[in-house]
Amino acid sequence: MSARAAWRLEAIGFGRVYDYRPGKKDWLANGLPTEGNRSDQKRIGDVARSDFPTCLTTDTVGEVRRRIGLPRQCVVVNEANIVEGRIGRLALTDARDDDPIEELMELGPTTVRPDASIESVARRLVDSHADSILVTTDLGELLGVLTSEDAVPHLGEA
Amino acid sequence: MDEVRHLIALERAQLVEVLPASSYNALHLPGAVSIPLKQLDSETSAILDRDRPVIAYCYDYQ
Repeated sequence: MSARAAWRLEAIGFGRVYDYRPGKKDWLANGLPTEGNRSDQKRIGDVARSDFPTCLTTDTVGEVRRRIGLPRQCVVVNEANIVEGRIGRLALTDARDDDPIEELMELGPTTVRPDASIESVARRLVDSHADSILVTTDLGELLGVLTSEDAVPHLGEA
Repeated sequence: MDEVRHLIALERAQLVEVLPASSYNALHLPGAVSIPLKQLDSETSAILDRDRPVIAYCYDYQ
């Protein structure tokens, strides 16, 4: 649709026309602001925490322990802030200092997009007995973490 | 995405949502105007500045 609109605008005589093909869905999936009647409805991106412990795939266990101690959960990202895995306190406690985080992390954690409804994700957390879920862009870049503590109060919301 | 944000921030690009008005009214990109594709012509597009870039968008790869 936008491609046809772009062609139409050029035919009308506009000199610089661009087609944002991924569209509104892409914009929402990246947690960017919007306007409109529904723009004030809370989305995951509004509630997710950004101050969640993270470490790099290139870190060792010792480096993580020295930097952030023994967090309950730590999100493992690469240099581009793309989510690669998660690692919990038990794994960090039992490992040696020079063990690579990359070899101990849980691969491919479940993620959700920032434009998903809080209610649906809260239900998902409750049903799976999970205490948190990662929020990323559709390219896997970490935006935050939604905890069940923050999500559960929104159960039952439209 | 980056190019779109660059055009908006640095080149004052105008956003045009070409979905039906109901979709625009619910949610649209900040500053976007609504010109549904079925109504897009020289008259309705007259609200746009021809000296600035124009970015057309819909919902996704439709």
